[in-house]
Amino acid sequence: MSKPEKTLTVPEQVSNGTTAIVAENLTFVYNPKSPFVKKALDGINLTVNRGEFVAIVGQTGSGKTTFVQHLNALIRVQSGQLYVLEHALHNKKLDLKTLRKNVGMVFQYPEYQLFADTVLDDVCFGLKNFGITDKAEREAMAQKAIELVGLDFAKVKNKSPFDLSGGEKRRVALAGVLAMNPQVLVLDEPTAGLDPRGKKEILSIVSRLNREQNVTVIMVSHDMNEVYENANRIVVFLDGKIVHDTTPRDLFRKEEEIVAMNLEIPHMAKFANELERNGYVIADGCKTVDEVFNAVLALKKGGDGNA
Amino acid sequence: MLKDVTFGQYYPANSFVHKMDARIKLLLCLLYMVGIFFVNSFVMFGFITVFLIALIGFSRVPLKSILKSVKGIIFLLLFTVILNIFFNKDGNILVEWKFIVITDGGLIYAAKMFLRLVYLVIGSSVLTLTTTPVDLTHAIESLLKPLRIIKFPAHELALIMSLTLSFIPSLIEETDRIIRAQKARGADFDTGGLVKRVKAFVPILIPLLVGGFRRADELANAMNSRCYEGAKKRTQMRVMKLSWRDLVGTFVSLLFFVTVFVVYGMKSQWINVSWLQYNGINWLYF
Amino acid sequence: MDIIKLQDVSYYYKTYDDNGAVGQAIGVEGVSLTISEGAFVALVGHNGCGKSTLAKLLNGLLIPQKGTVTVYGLDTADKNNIFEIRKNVGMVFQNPDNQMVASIVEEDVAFGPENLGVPQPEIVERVYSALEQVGMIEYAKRSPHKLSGGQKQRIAIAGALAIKPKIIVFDESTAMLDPQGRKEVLEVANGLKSQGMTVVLITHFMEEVATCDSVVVMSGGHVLKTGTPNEIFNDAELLKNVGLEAPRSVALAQKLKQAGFDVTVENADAQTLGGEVCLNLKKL
Repeated sequence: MSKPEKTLTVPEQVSNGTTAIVAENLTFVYNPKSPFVKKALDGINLTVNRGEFVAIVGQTGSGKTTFVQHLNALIRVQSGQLYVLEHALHNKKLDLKTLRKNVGMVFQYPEYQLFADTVLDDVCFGLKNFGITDKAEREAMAQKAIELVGLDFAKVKNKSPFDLSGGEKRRVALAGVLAMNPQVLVLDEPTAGLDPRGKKEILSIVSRLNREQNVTVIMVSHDMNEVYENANRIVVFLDGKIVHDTTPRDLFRKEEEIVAMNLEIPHMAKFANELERNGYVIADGCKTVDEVFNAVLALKKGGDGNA
Repeated sequence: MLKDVTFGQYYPANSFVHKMDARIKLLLCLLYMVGIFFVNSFVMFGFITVFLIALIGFSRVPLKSILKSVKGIIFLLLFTVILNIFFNKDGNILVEWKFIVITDGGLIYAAKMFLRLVYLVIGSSVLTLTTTPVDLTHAIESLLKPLRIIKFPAHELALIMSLTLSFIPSLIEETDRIIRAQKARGADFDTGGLVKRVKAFVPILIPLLVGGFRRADELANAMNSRCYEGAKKRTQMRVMKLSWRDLVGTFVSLLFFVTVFVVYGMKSQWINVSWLQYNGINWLYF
Repeated sequence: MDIIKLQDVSYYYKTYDDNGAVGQAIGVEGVSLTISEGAFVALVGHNGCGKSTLAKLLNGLLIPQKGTVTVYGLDTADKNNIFEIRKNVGMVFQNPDNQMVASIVEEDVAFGPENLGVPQPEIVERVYSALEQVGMIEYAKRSPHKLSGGQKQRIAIAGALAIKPKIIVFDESTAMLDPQGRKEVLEVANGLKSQGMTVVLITHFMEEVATCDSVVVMSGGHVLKTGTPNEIFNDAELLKNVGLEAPRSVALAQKLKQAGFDVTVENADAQTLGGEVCLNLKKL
């Protein structure tokens, strides 16, 4: 599996800082040389520019979680190349601390990783690990993160994280990652198990970070409706390979292929597709219920005008 | 990855030994473990070797898997052997240098101890390699049942074992996930002194504990909802039936064990064996 | 016939603040509700609204501090009734991993009937018929932990069915599953309902309640409204207040209808809705 370390020429887009992720022929096999051998990634090629909001979708077991865990070296590269920001992850020598500080990773059910006595301590955990030695500085950074996730800092800072509601816990866990000011944010099903309000809160935090602070977002999700409305690019994994890599609107135009992969078609995409088949065009940017509704109203107006 | 660790050592196959009743296997294994301590001559060790070779042959478990379990006690083996070589002062002195004294008696004793431990592990690993943990649990419950008269909680013990078995995979997975999550937040489990390393485990242990209580709570609800009320009037789906294999297996094993005990008895002169004398030495006793 | 009756039921949780003072938090308060035989009832609300507390009151896992809960006329507060009540009310919980008592599928399913003291041959019969009902018979001898979330949850359902309950309660049993798993569980739930079982589905996914007979909306431990799925979906104000959302296609249909389009709102499917809108547009 492993190949000799070569001095590879760093791709230009990596060295000039326009890309967040460059994966070239990334392949990963679980339990190599054993009867349980399983190819999880099979020649993944993917380039993500800084500031993109990319959703990764696919059925359970398609390799998406394995892929995202490569991004901060929780799983090391077996074969192929992977650059995240300016870090070359396929090299044996790697500044793990800096990498993990710059690439924040939010796991499924992140509230299950909370452990400290107070919310403030828990959010500071990462900062401490990443070498912010000054307590005041740490707490200022933590405060910013806690406020960013929409919690009242004064009210929650001294509370035990275990006394919070499910949605609040998840936001504290998110703050624990955001406190490091990561440039790339990787989220593995960040809204799983939350109610609609909780989902919206998390997604709006992530979207805002992406829009306002140009944080590159990689989000694994099973909820096609939320992916459709939030991401500006969707990558579909199937059996360890990337089978689609396109805009949400274009992806869900391929209704039959999507259904064949056991994925759902977002309601608003289905609606827009039906209109397109009848010759009415809804702009690609209209993806939420309100946007689609307004687009239909515009069509009606246009129709009135033509008549 | 932690989650790839398979729990227990069960080696799936469809052999004679696999098909034997778990209770019989467990009893025979216990008998074997006792019996091995009655083996104290190299000839008898040879005799047991024949038995083990036959047993392993009939279990169709590759020798490699069995030797793996011997590897697990390698330090214990070394420790025992060294201890016996240097501190057993029986017999003729072979080497004497400063405070080190090695005797032939010590060497022989060390060799026998070595064999005994190795055979002990091999014998019991045949049991665990050919019997699923679930079957073992049932066997233990069934064998302990008579002890209920003295209020021994046989059912509860078996239930705890069964619950443990069914929770281990998800606990391992959860541990794995928490470790990764804390690593992603910069936690470092591999450097620093002892105190620092122990401290580093707090962020893993606390979420695990909290999760453990949550699980226990949900499990209790699930068990109550399914009408769990203790052992009182419980019945069991699994019927354990003895087959011809168990009879044959028991018979053959007992033959071996009886021989072992008889030989031990002869050596202890409970049985007169003067007819076995050859050149004044009883070869059975070496 | 009403088989479950809740009369003015309240349940409070004890809370402890940092100073060790004991307080109270509302689980449910003043809930009155009846569930009739063969009905498919959904209990919806945001996380922490009291719907799971209510579920646990239905089979005596929790006993009301005020009011009464009766199942087939049996009061859950009477300890002597508990066994009989739990025989009638099967329950499936949220996390499939935390409901497994055995590491072999058939033995896990057998746990209930074993507890009831069912004779051995009948246990086998019950286990296999339950596994058949959830379509998992081929996994009977396997270990559950290698199965998908949806499959594990179907095993948990089989475990409840093996007790032969008349009512089955799904306590957020779909919350942790992927869409595929959710679909599997809902198919089983709908199948049980069509066989005449009473089904109580607790969820916060409004897509799942579309096929229910009635929907109970909860918030802050209170029941705010009971109605058909459409009545609930149409009450946009209520949904917004309790932090829920009608399925997107239904929400769009409602808006379009209000804007003067001739479209069906009831159970609106996005594609059908699209077709209707096109017809509307062509008429202009």
